[in-house]
This record gives sequence, C-alpha cells and structure tokens, in this order.
Amino acid sequence: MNVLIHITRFKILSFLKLSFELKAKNIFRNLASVIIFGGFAFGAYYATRVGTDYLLDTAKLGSFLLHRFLSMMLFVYFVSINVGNIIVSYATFYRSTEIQYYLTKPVSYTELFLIKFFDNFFYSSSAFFIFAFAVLLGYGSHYHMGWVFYLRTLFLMLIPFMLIAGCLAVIMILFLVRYAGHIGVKKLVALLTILYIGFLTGYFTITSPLKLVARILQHYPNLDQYFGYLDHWVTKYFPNYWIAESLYWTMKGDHSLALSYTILLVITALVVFGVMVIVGKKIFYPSWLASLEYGSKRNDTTEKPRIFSLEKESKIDLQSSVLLKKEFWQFVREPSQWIHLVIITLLVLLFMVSISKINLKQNMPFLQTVSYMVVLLFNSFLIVSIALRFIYPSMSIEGPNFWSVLSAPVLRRKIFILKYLLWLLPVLILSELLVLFSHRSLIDYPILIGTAAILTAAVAYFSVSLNLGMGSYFADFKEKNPIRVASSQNATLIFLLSIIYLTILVASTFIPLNGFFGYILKSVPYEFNNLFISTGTFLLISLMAGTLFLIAGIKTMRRDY
Amino acid sequence: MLRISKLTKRFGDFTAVNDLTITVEPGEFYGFLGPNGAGKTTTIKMMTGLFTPSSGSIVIDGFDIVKQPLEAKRKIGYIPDQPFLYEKLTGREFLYFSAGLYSVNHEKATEQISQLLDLFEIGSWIDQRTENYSQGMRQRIVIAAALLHDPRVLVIDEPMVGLDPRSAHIVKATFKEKSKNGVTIFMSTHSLPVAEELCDRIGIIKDGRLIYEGPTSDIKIAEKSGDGKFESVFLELTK
Repeated sequence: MNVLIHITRFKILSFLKLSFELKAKNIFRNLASVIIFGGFAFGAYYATRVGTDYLLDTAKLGSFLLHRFLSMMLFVYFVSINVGNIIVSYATFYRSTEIQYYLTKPVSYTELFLIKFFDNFFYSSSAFFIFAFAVLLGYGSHYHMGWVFYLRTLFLMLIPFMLIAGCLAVIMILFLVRYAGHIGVKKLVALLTILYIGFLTGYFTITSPLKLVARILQHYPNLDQYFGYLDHWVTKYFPNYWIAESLYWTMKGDHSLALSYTILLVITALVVFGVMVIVGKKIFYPSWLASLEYGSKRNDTTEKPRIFSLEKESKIDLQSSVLLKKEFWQFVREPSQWIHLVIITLLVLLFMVSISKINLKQNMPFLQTVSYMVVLLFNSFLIVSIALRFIYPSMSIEGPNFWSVLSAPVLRRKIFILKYLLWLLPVLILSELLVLFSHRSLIDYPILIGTAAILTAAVAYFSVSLNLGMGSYFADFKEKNPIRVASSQNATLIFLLSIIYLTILVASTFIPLNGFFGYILKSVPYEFNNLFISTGTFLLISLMAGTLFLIAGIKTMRRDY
Repeated sequence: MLRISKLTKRFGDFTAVNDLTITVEPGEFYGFLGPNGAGKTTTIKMMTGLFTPSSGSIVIDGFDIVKQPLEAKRKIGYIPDQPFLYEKLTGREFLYFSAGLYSVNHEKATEQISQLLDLFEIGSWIDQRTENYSQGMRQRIVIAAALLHDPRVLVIDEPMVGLDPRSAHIVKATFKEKSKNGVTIFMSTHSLPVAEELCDRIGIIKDGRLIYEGPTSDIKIAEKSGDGKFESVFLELTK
C-alpha cells in the first residue's frame, strides 16, 4: 500500500509539474482548456437545464418519462466510458514501458495493476466526468437542489457508476489478452465485438424509447405518475436504472427509496472493483507475459509485401513515394490502428445501410428541419471522430524515428502536406458517401443533397486540417500508442473544439433550412439566397479556420526536433 | 568540408552551445569530445538540421544548413546517438526508405544495400521488422542507411554504442576508408580510445564552449608529460 501511495504521489507531482510549467505552449494550452472545457461544460449545463424545463414545464411529459430518458442517456454514457477504458487499457497495461520498469522493482503485481488501473481510469474518464457534472448541475438546478444533493450524486452515484464501467472494461481486457493465444486474437476480438454490438442492440430493443413514449402517452394528461410496471425486468439490473430511480425518488421526496438505490450502486461498485482486483491479482502478470509471447510469435516472420512495397520502383517522385509507402505500412502493421479501422468501417457500413432506409420526409417544416439536421450532424460527428482517432495522432506516432526524415533533404512542408493529402482524400470521399446514403430519400430536392454535400465536405476539410494541424502542434513524440495520443487532454480539447464547430454548423444553417422547408411543405414565401448565404458562410468559416490550423501545423514543422 | 562559425544555441536562459567555431577539412577525421551535457549532441543536431541555431552558421560542403537546408542535407550522412528506426518496417524496407529520401534511384539503392548488408553482416534479419532487432543490429542498419547516398560529410554521434567487437571493428575500418577517400568525418564520442585511434584532430567542448582543439599527435605529446593516458589529459581539461 505504501508503494502505491509513493508512486501515485510522484505521478501526480510529475503531472502537475508538466502541466503548469511556465512555458508559452503550456499557458496557451491551459488557457484554451479552460475556455473550451468551460464553454463545453456551460453548454452541457445550459442545454440540460433548458431541455429539462421544456420537457417538464412546456411539454409536460412528466418526471417518470424524463428519468427514463435520463436512464437511456446514462446507459450510453456507461458504454462510452466502458469502450474508452477498453481501448486505452490495452495500451496502458500491455504496451507501456513503465510496466517493464516497475516489474524490475520490488512492486507487487497487484500494486502495479492498481497503479495502472487508476492511471487508465483517470486518463480515459476525466472528460466524461466534467460533462456529467455539468449535466447534473443543469438537471439539479431545475429542481433547485442544494449542495448536499450534488455531493451525494457526484460521490455516491456518478463516481461508483463510472468505476463499474471502468472495472468491467479492465476485466474484459485482462481475459481477452490472457486467453487470446488459445482462441486467436482476431477471432476473439471479432467475437467480442459481435457480442458487444448484440448486447447494445438488445438493450435498445427492450427499452425502445418510442414504444415507451407511446404507452405512457395513452395516459395523457395524467403523465406525472410512476409507470415502473412498463419497465422490462432486465433493465432493473443495470446501474443506469438505479441512478435514474434514485434521482426520480429524490425528486418525489421518497428519500429512503432513493437511498436504497444509491446503496445498491455503491455496493455493486465495491464488489466489481473487488472482483477486478482479484482478477488482476490472478491474471494480470500471466496476461502480460501472454501479450509478450503473442508479440514475439507475430513478429518472428519475414516480410515481403507485394503491393506498395518500399523495395519496388514507383512512378511518382521517390521522396513522396517512400513517405507514402512508409505511412501505409506503419498503419497497417500496427494492430491498434487496423483493428480500430476495421471496427469503425463495420460501424460506418452498418450506419450507412441503416440510414439509407430512413425516410427523411416529414410533413411539418420544423420536424423536417430537425430530421435533416440530425442526420447531417450524425455524419459530421462521425467525420470528427474518425479525424480525432486517426489523424490527430498521425504526427505523434512518428516518434523518435522522425530524425531519419527530418535530417534528410526533404522539405518539411512536403512531409506535412503528403500526410495531409493522404488523409484528406479518403475523409472527403467518405463524407460524400455518407451524404449519398443518408439523403437518398430527398432525391427530389437536389438542392438539399447539394447543401448537405457542401456542408459535409466543409466539415471534412475543417476536421482534417484541425486534427493534423493541432496534432502537429501538440505532437507527443514520446507516446508510442496512437490511442493514448487520441485520448490525451490535448486531443480532448480538439474534440471539444470540433463540437463547438458543429454547434456553429447548426446555428448558421438551422433557420435558413427551416424557412426552405416551410416553402416546400407549406408554400411559405422564402428567399432562396438565405440558404445559399448560410451554406456559403459556413463553407467560408470552415475554409478559413481549417486553413489557419493547416498553416499552424506547417509552421510547427519548423521547430526543433 | 565542414565550417562551423560562431555557433550558438540557447534554450530560454540556458546556453547549450556558445560561440563555437570549428573547421574540418575534406578527408579529415574530427573527434568531438566532452563530458555529458557539454553540448555535443546539440551541436550535431544543428549540423543535421534538427535544431535551428540561435546565431552563427554551419556550412556543409559549401551549403549553409539554415539557408540551403536541402542542398546541405544531401551532402550529409547522419548517424544519431540512439538508433531509432520505424519499428513496423523491416531493415531492408528502412534502407530503401532512406535511399528514397535522398533520391537514390532504385537500381543504385539495390546495389548499395546489397553491398552494405554484406559489409555489416546483417544477414537474414534484414527482412524482419526492426521492432525485433537488438541495439547493435539497429545501429548497423542506421550506419548502413547513412552511407547509402555516398555522403561527402559524415556526422556521427556515439557510433560504437551497442556494437559487438567484430561489428565495431568493421565500422571503424569503414570510417577510416571513407576518410581516406576524402569524406569529411565529424564524430562525437565518449570513447577516448576510439577518438585516439581514428581521429586526425580533436576538439573538446565543455559548457557549450570549445576548450581545446588540436591534432591527435599533440595529445600523444601531452600524454607523455603525464601518466601516459589520454584519459588523464581529458579529465584535466574538463575539470
């Protein structure tokens, strides 16, 4: 235990020293963090407050339905933390050189496991925590709750809830790595992915929000009553349900019932944490050895690729050719990159197939605008996420090997631009494919498909420029793992900046689009220029901002390496 | 040739290299010595374009590394102190990659690689990913990569780290041969016997300043006045 405290103390000291060192870059980063995190937290708070006010006071949906919506949001939150921890924990537990260092010291495997678990948990969950706290403030302010409520919810509900998600993620990754050798990594990953997606689909099928709303609306106008009998029995075993119930009964003044759910949550968190410690104690070290064994087996073969081979002549200039081929092989030979790419490609395909079946045509202009914007935002969000995951770390993963390129007679601008084009082209193609699939039902209105194509292309340009530019600015050449780079504090900052950018997309196009749909559906007079001006303005903002980030990225290439 | 004039590098308030002036003639083998943190690697990083000098200039075979970086870099073969390689590439791929960066055409690259593989006895490892290589094997690949484009100037930072005696012998012989053929060699090292054995001239840097420069023969004279060891001369100078 003393060792655990000792190491944790030095880790915190090191983090604080690095974060608050008086350097221009740190000051800029911290200032930007405060502005963006603060802005995002305020946005989350404000949206929750307005949303809760609207649902309860204007739409009069009743507390029960509100808390069931909350339960579903918490489920998504739980899955996000769980997946985030799964992704980062492989790098933290099995790819970190820190583990090798501690293994040579008198630190027990359990202590080592716990050090890395907390490292992993705080690394991948801190941004989620800020977001959840802001939402909690928005929710609580509707009911004029006092500080005791916030403290209790934070420490006895949110943190145990997040801990359960994090612990389950680590248990899964421990078993996965320990037994991957027996079944085969690719098979096991595929199997787990299918199981996970099946589980998510199953959950949303049994808790279908549409069905629930329809069944509750049958009781209109008496909606403010408890409809617990409508819940599927399976949902009652989920921690998100316990939080939703605890909050519901707190708002209804039944504190003993609320407390019982809180206690259930805390006990479950402690049990899951205990199970994880036992599993870690038993199989962390064997799984670490297994990962080494697997790595050595995988690499003990000679490589003679037939396509894009660095050993073959190319028709383009030699420097560009070898730089592009190097990028390609570096990507496809790194399991954390290609496995993610395969999973994301599958999800994108699934998304395209599903969304192509949705009929976006509505009768009400407002609903039509909302459905159009939601699809546009989904597409944009996908592009933003892909850019963050793959493009943001692409400069950092050059790592200490970058000397060989930077000391060679290659223009640094050229290195950056090649990397940029390599990403921009596929992302642009993907963005347009998404538009084609998602807006098929609007084929009668080419102007709408054209608008979506321009807006999505603008998002693609901005996202690629932002992520490569800022990924270069914040490049961490010491971090080998792209996933950890993509989930670092700086990357989170860039992600939040992207969300603010998407908010600008909505703000600049919603009203003109609403007017346009009013014209189509209700023949309300409409000035077409409004749509062109708003689309053009957003395109211009994207081009200007994206180019600025691009220039910033190129400039950072000049710095000392 | 290599000409360093009034070279200074500052990191904030700290001056790592201070007003350094060195000239190395074609075919000359120059040893750059100094204690840890003296400014050797910083100097080399400025010579290879990895750091930008705060002031002063570096001219490589007639080209200024700041004003004409591409021309200057074409003349240099650089061997860093840590042999980092792209781990997902094989040794052979890394060599073709390096050749491409220096625009060495495919035919010449293949010929050079074949010769260098034989010279450094790299063998069947060449087609495995470099993530499996030992330090010595990585070092051999890095040295081979630096020689692929027939550089006029070799800039070497601690070349013998991790090499077994046989490999070290081959590497030393190769450097001697290159120097004899007119290649300018600037080598930073902590190994006093290596410096004494290979170098025509030696410069010693301490706290960013050149505190001694002279032919290796002078060192031999200084050794005789003391206990007969270069180490003692070095320790006295860098005290």
